[in-house]
Amino acid sequence: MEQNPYALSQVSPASQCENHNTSDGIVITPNALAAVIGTQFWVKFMGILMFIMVVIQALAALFDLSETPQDLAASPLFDYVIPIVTMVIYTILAVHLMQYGSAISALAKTRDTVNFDRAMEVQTKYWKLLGILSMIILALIAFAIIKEITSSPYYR
Amino acid sequence: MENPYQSSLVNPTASPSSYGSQNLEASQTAIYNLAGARGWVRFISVLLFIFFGFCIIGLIGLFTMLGYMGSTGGIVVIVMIIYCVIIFLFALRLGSYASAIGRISVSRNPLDLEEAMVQQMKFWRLSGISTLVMIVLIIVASVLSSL
Repeated sequence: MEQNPYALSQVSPASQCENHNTSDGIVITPNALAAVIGTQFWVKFMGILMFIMVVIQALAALFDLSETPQDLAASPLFDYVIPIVTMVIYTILAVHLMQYGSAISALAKTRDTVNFDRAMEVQTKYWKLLGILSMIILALIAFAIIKEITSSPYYR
Repeated sequence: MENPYQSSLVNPTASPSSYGSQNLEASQTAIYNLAGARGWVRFISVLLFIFFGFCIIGLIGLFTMLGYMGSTGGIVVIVMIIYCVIIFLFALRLGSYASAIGRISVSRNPLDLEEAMVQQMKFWRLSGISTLVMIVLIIVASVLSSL
């Protein structure tokens, strides 16, 4: 009996054609990997700079504490609360950047998927944190402007 | 009799080895995380573009007051122009990064992932270099003002 010329192919075209996209992920090209590894130095540099800024702010705050008691109570919000909050924010951002840098270092050594996942996870957390902080700061600025306008003697 | 409709055994498309990497690939988790970063990166980029707009308005105001600022007016304007350019570049890099991430989600093309990684590397490099330059300028200004 002749073979049915209309029979379905025994070979799956999907398996024949090696798609650059597997069912799980996307192939990372050498240029992409080099770009990620190239980010490591600058990310760690910015993280270290942020830590240095935190230290400088802490030293400035300690210097303020050595002032006379009459000056200490002048503006506790601007002298203590805002600097402390700023230091905490910078510290958290710096920690995230250093974690990102460390994840890229691990990726550079092992060149595996797990460390790439970790790097992307950490950088997502960093951008999310920065976005939330930006929204909070914008809200505070808008609140301060509205408060200033409404408390103005010319406001009707 | 051979089946004339049998699919070709020759692979018409490029194999992963044509991209050069061995077997390193971004998993679904990494792509999901990247997609999660896209919105926040785009938000920061838009904020920077808005800030750039305010900087341009400030620069126009500076130009109109240039005559009243004396000899330091020119230096202030130059610094402001450089600042505006840096802010614009920051916003542009982040916007490009967010756009590349958006393309990855749709096309799942390795070249889009490459573009995203290159854009974020360029952003961090610009951040580092501009911060270095700013630190050097602050140190130089401090030394000059103390002399």
